[in-house]
This record gives sequence, structure tokens and C-alpha cells, in this order.
Amino acid sequence: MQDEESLVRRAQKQDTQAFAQLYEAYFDRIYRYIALRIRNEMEAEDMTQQVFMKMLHSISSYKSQGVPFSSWIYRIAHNQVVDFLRQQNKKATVDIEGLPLPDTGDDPQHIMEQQIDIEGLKKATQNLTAAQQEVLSLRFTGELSIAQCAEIMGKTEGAIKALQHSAVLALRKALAVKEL
Amino acid sequence: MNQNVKFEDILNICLERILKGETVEACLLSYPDQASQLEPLLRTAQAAHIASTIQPRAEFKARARYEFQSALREMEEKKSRRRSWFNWHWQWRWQSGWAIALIVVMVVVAGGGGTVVAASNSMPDEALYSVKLTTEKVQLAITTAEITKAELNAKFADRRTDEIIYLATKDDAQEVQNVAELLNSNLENLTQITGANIEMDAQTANSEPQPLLAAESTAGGGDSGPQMGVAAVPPEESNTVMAVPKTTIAAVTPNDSGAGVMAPRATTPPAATETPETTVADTGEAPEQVPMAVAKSAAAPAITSPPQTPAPMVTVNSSLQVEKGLSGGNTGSASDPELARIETLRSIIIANFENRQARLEEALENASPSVRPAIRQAIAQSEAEFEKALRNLEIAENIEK
Repeated sequence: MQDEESLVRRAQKQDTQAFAQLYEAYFDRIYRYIALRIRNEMEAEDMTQQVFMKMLHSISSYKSQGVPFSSWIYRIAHNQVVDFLRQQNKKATVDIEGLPLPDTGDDPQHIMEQQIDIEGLKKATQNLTAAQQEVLSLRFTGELSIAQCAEIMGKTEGAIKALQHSAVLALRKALAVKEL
Repeated sequence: MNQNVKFEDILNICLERILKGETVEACLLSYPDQASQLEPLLRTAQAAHIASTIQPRAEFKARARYEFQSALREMEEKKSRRRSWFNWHWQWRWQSGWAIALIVVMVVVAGGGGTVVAASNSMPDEALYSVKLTTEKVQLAITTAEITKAELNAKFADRRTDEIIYLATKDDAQEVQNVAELLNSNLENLTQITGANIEMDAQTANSEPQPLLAAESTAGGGDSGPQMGVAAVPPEESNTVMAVPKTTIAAVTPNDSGAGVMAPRATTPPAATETPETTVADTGEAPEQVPMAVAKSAAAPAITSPPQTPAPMVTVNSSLQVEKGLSGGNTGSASDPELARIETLRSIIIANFENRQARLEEALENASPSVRPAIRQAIAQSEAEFEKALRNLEIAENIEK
């Protein structure tokens, strides 16, 4: 993390190389988080770009003070998503079927399992609350810690753990319903 | 509830381990008591983790990267522009100081410029008065010719007199006193110019190997002055040096030829009745051929360094002697540049004094009691400096003769 802090400090001094490295480090993760939350590929792409433009123009406002940079940039993404969902005034729907899959080789069985899982995930998450979707997205696409999730969502770590528990439980139930 | 909190912690620990690549089975082995409750949740979480393999489209990634790089370039260009503006700004600020000073000097030299002209007529209670004083300082600073500098000081002394009269009509005693001090400063400058050559003259006279002046035989103390360049001049050249102004003698070095020191000086003594303004205009065009020597002499603190040569014949009684025709009394030879210089200075000082005293006396008569002390002080200072200046000129004249 020392390296990242150094990168951020350089970026705050308008170092374009540092900006480029931060961009590459976070671009996919931010996209994943947004894509799973709003479930609209085109919107997810636009929003991802907006997040990085905001990073570019407001990085000088970032002050470490124990808060990792990752929390800061996810917070930007979180706010974007919240604004978007508020504007949509409806539950986010995502065409996860349309989301590209990672290169997993030529194993058709593996691809099928993933497609099935993603399909099931798509249908199951539609039944979760926004907060549950949020915590699952942050934890399983962004791979952020409980502390970071708490920072981004503005909740205590205990609340995030409880939310995580309820989210996995709700997802489990939703997937079980689907299987039935 | 406590059981739930504990389970949430265990679930979280297991999820962390799965996110790091451990298997569900490994986690269940760690918590056998909660395994049955943990397993469905961990397998669900593992399934949800599949979403983390979602990748953005390659085309989108390429386009997004390009646009981000464009934004970076734009930012860099803005930064560069800011830097260049910053540099230009400071460069401009640094240079503008010199430019402004140069412009002021040029305006002063040219005698033009709306603000400067307007300021020259301003009074102490007006906004441009500080410009007026600054302009005067610049004029004095850039003037090296001794006579021109004397004329400028006389001219500025006249301005101070105008200001005192103006302020007296306004019953502003404090301002009258302030301006009287400024007037005294101009007059002290004048006195200093008249005494500038005295010390050097005395030293020169004392170091002469031959008795050049009748007064020098009574000057005494010739052994106390420093040996000037004249002492090194061969005897046959000393006769030539005798006709050269003192300031030029001071510049003589063993390597100087006689011809080299024959620098002509403007010898156009103005009439005693000339106003200071007219004198400035006339003499300002007259070339001063030996400004370095004059400037060097002018720098000498004549008042604080009393002349070594006594001047028994000098008994100046200000206006009385003016009335007796002292102002027009050119007792020296017009062909002697040093005597001509002395006479020119005397004319400037006397004309300036006569005009000033008459006006101040008139202002004193018309002034209110509150202002009169300040005007009296100005008159007294004016007389004192006038007498000092004339005494200096008398001494210099006696030395020259």
C-alpha cells in the first residue's frame, strides 16, 4: 500500500504516469462493481468513465488520514450508482447475460457453469435490497474489506457484517427458489 | 443475538479466506460446530464471487483508456500553460519594476507626461503631491551636472515656497512646518553644492609646489592635506594646470597630459535677475564637460567638513549685500571657468533667495497667528542656508584667486 500511497501523492501533483497506473489498477474493479449494481452495460461503461474523470479532477481533495485510496474511489463509484438509481427510481436491473465473461479457456463445461451461475445470480439478486446488493458487489466484485465497505456505505463494520450475512442468506434463498 | 454476532464474524472470516482462494471445505474444517450453517452460505458466496470475473468489453476498455489519456494530456497542457503564465507573470512583474522606473526617468528627462506635469502643480493636500516629490527626487538623482543640480534645487525650493504660501492661506500650521523642512532640505542641497569644492580646493592649494594664490600664503597648514595629483605634475606643466578648474586638477594623475585636463566648462553666467525657471531652461542645455569630477566633489560633505583654508575677507550679511550689488559682483575673471562656476552658483542662489524671502515675508504678514511661527522658521532657515552658501562661494573664490 506504500506504493499506492506514493502513486496517489504523485497523482496529486498532476503526475500523468501516476494517474495512468491508478487507472489501470482500478478500472476493471470499478467497472465490475458498477455493472453488478446497475445491470445495464452501457450505463455501467459510461458511469465507469465518469468515476475516473472525477478521480482525475478531484484527487487533490483526497486526504489519506487512514482511509485507503481504494475506499475513496469506490466511494465515488458508490455515489454515482446511488445517484443513478435514484434517478431511475426503480430497482436496478442488469442484463448480466450480456456481460462478457473472462477468458476461461476452451473448457465448455466451465463456461457453462459460469453462465449458469451468472444467470442464477442475475435472477437472485433482483430480489435483494439495494444495501444487500451493494455489500455483495463491494465484497465479491471489488473484494473490499469490511472496514472499506463500512467507509463507503457509511455504516459500522458490525452493520456491514450483519448486512453481509443477510445478503448471502437472501441470495441463497433466492437461488434455492430458482432451482426449484 | 450474541450467537448471531459471533456467527457473522465467523462467516466473515470464512468469506475472507474464500476471497483469498481457499476452498469452502477448508473453512468448514476450521469451524466444525458451525459447518452445517456455514456451508450453504459459503457456497452461495462462492457462486456470487463468480461475478468478480466480469470484464469490461475490450472495445470499451480501449475507448475509455484513450479518453482518459486525452483528459490527462489536456490537464498537462493546462498545467504547462499555467506554469508559463506564472513564469511570464513573475518575469513581467520583475521587469515591469525596471520598466516603470525607466519610463519615469524618460518622462522626467523629456519633461513631459500628463501625470508628472499634473503632479508638478499639485499641492501637499492633493493626491499627486507624492508623485511631485518623487519626480523631483528622480530629477535630482539623474542629474550629475553641478550647476543644473543647483538650479533644480533652487527651482524646487521655489515650489516649496509656493506650497508654504498656499498652506498658510489654509491655516495649516503643521503642514507649513512639514513643507518648511522640505524647503530646508533643498536649501541644504544648494549649500552642499557651493561647499563641495572648498575642501578639495584647500587641499589642492596646500599641495601645490608653487604659491598659486595670494591667499594660500596665509592659508597655512599646507603639510596637513593629502598629496594630490598636481604634486606629481612636472613644473613645466604646473603653469598650465594653474588655469584649469580645481575639479580638473583633482583629476590629474601622473599619466595625464596637460591637454587632457583642459576640459572646457560652460561659462554662461546668467543674469542675477533671472528667475530660477529661466535659468534652468538655459543652463540645462549647457554641456558640462567634467561631470565626474564635479560629481565626486558634490559628494563631499562640505558643511560637515569645514574648509581648511580660512576666509578672513568673507563677511556675508545676506540681503544687505544683495542690495549692495553682490549678486552682480563678478570680481573674478570670466575667462576662469572655476570663477565663472562660482559666479553662476552665486547668481542662482541670490536670485532664488531674494524671490523666496520677499514672498515668505509677505505670507507672514498675511498669515494667521497660528501659522506664523512655522513661516518664521522657514524664513530663518532660508537666511541661514543662504549665508552658508554665500560664505562657501566666497571661500572658493578667494582660493581660486
